Amino acid sequence: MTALQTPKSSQEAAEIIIKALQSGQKLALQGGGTKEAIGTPMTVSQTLSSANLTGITLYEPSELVIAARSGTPLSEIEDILAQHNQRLSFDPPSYQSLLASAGIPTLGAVAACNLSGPRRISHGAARDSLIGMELINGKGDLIKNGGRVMKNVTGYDLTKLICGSWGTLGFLTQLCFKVQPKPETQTTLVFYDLDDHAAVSLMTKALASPFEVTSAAHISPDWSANQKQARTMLRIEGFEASLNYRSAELTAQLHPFGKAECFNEQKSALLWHSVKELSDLEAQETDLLWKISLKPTNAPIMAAWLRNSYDAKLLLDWSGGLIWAALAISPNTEQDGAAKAIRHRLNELGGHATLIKAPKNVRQTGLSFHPPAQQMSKLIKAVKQSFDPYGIFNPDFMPQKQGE
Amino acid sequence: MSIEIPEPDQTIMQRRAEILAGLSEIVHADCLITRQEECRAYEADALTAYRRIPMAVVLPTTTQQVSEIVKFCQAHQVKIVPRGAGTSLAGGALPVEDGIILGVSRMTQILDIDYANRTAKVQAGVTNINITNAVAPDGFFYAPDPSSQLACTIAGNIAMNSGGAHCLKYGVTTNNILGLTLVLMDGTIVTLGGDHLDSESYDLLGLIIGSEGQLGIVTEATVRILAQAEGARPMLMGFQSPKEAGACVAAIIGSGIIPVAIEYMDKPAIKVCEDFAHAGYPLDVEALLIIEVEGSDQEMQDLLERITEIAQDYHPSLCKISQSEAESSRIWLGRKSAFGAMGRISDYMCMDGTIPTGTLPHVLERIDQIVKSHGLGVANIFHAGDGNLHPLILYNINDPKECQSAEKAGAEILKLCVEVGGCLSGEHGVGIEKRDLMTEQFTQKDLDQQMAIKSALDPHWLLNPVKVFPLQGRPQPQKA
Ligand SMILES: Cc1cc2nc3c(=O)[nH]c(=O)nc-3n(C[C@H](O)[C@H](O)[C@@H](O)COP(=O)(O)OP(=O)(O)OC[C@H]3O[C@@H](n4cnc5c(N)ncnc54)[C@H](O)[C@@H]3O)c2cc1C
Ligand SMILES: Cc1cc2nc3c(=O)[nH]c(=O)nc-3n(C[C@H](O)[C@H](O)[C@H](O)COP(=O)(O)OP(=O)(O)OC[C@H]3O[C@@H](n4cnc5c(N)ncnc54)[C@H](O)[C@@H]3O)c2cc1C
Repeated sequence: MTALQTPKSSQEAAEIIIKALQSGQKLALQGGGTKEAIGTPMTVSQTLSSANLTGITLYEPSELVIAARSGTPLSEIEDILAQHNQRLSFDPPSYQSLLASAGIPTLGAVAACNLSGPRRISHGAARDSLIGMELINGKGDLIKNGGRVMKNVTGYDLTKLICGSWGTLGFLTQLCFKVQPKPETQTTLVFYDLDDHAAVSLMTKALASPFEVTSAAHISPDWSANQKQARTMLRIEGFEASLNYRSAELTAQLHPFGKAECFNEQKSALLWHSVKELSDLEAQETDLLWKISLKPTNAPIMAAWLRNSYDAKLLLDWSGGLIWAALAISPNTEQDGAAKAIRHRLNELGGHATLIKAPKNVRQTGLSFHPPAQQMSKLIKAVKQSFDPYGIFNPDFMPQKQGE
Repeated sequence: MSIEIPEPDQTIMQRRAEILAGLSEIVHADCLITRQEECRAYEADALTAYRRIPMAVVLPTTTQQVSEIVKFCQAHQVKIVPRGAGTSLAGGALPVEDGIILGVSRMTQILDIDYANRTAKVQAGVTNINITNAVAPDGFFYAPDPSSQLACTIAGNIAMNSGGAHCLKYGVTTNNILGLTLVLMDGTIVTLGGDHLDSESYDLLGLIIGSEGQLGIVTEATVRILAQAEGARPMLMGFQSPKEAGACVAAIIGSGIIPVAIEYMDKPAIKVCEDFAHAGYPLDVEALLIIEVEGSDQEMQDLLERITEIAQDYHPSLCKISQSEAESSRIWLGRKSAFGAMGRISDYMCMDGTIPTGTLPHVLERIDQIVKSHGLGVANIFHAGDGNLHPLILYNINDPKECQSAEKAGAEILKLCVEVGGCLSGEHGVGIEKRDLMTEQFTQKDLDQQMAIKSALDPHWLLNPVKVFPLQGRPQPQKA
């Protein structure tokens, strides 16, 4: 059993960390605990949770910033923003249905996991919206970086480092994000029956147009039982008159790819919600789920290889820059979830792959995160050392070099 | 002037001949400048009040050469100041006498352009504008556009995380770089990121961008390129008070419209820029906004109409939409040459704090008081949409008393920015200029965390060492 510590203030959290340091204990860091199913399972005796560090500390709609303590539920942030017709532009997913989890996703984890959804290609990731933070490092020191203004180059930018560090550098206590006004409306153009190649070609063409496509994804028929035809989708957002113009222009320019169906606001929103949350995947039947990041024009090559090698269901988001691959358990995946083979292929194509969902025995192999190239290990060690010199946070959770 | 620069290390100065000989074995003679008269061309950047002549200037042409130079310098404990075009306004590229300038101005090739994936791979010494020039014929551009873009390099932009007038919509440098080639202090060459999104491990790209040349030497970059909008159109909006102009900016943004740019100029700045560029700025207003939108003709028309309507509550005395390409380029020429135009009539110190936009009227009033209390003048030109201020403190560089007053007024203005919830630097960086003010914004522990990273990557503190962190409170550099 691990003891759960739920400090009510940064001060208390710092004391817990210092105590752990003194007694030589390690700490698992946790927000809502929804993501316990990811990464290498840890063996630690104590968990430090942000569950009692909640509440919005600053919200200035006219300045487009919001700050909150790290344990604040993401939904609370989204609700208050929606009341002011604003949003987090990077579209953070919660994956609650996929992970079949009871926990509440928190703002701290959105940063720690660098969560971002389909709008990543036009609005950046969580790392691009995080403008300030407070965290406690592995020495028990409360550190702040960035602030509450959008343009800030004072000192090194540590906020980006924290995004995607999965709780291995420090315990976040407060975060400040820039936010965006919600566009008046949205429309999605849907093209049918394209193969991966044509779909990526369409999506990259659309993104190279001046019509400000904010999301582009391709779902093949095998992705879910709800779907009979391949669908390639382009979302545009803004004022209604402008959307009418842009969808007409896009439809005309992309005419060689077939006729487009136009989804209205409500249908469009539902569609992208299901892409963001991967909610068409049957959670129970999804044993292995890979998130593969690569350059869009290599996506059809990778997709073809995945289909040839495995029983694979694929969704291409980020105009092909992100492949979600749900693989069935089989003799060639049951050992390591196909980690070695997938990464071997990516060595040739460029990019990286993270195992998001897998049975415990697979995760125990420590292969969930992409091992960084050998030449990077020095930099990665330097960063880890400078934040957490005694290695007390989330030990062994993320590999620091190849083969670790 | 009053910012302390440590005395050069005499043991290094005495080994000058030996060090130059070593460097001459790494690069060709025409890539190595050692004569003092020639080195003088590199003695300062755009913070001209501070000058130091470096021991030598090395201008490598390949990443491999950079690696060998750095290795050599680490072995001989020679300090390195990386340099792009030397347009830093913070003294970021100010040399040290007991070290070399490592300049990337000979590394100017565009290595690859990939329109399907919307990326361009370039050598670090390419100028900002030349990236856009290379892709513009095909309808693309590189978004961050510092006013110095004709001269400044992508290396300098990366080191300072530079912004520009259009970053309200497109973000700053860190939001537009996908990959880097970096040479670490031990000579290791690493590639960070690439042409895919997000990092497989820590976001080291995000760390290096904005690290002011203190963690490694950038030799190549993969940048994001974007499709040009169908059209862009600025409008001018004049107000009789800064307060109304500030409130109008907040109202536009609050309404859900994010223009591509919202630039602000006060009366003294308008006059100087108008005299220089004949942009058609009104001379009878206290505050001028340049607001730019993008899209098709109809879309721009609609947006500018909406903006004009919102503005009515703030009583603009002028709302003028640009009627032609030529007029638009004059409007931007006036804004982008503001610093240069000001430089023709007076010496100035350019401040760069950012403030929460809600505090704008209060801060402008206080700036005026501060500068007046030191017997100096000020012109304000800045990025209003994101609260990034550029008060130009006008003074006479040849009058030691005025120099001191200007520095004092500058420090007070930056403290004010921090006090209202903002920061010391929005886009120019800390360099030496704001180094000693860092404790206003950060605790020693905050700085210790940043310096721990510096020490881990540059244990001897050889890379651009005099900058960013106050000289007091630094860790002891590791002994050779
Ligand atoms: C199996 C699984 C895989 C997922 N994979 C991804 C993914 O690859 N990309 C993605 O965008 N989303 C992913 N998600 C979604 C994401 O985890 C949740 O949506 C997120 O919001 C979880 O919130 P939480 O508070 O429950 O986090 P938790 O599960 O409690 O923690 C998530 C991570 O963040 C760290 N963390 C949490 N709070 C803090 C804090 N205050 N300080 C420091 N570190 C902290 C934890 O140590 C842990 O590494 C995944 C979710 C699951 C369940
Ligand atoms: C008239 C004028 C207008 C300006 N307008 C703007 C503006 O609108 N927005 C803005 O953000 N800035 C502006 N600036 C500031 C300046 O142009 C930027 O900071 C620019 O990015 C500096 O680029 P540079 O190539 O001149 O770099 P330099 O001045 O040579 O160096 C800047 C910093 O980068 C480091 N560096 C250089 N090359 C490397 C390398 N290869 N590897 C690692 N570190 C390196 C240097 O050590 C130094 O710390 C302006 C300056 C002037 C003079």
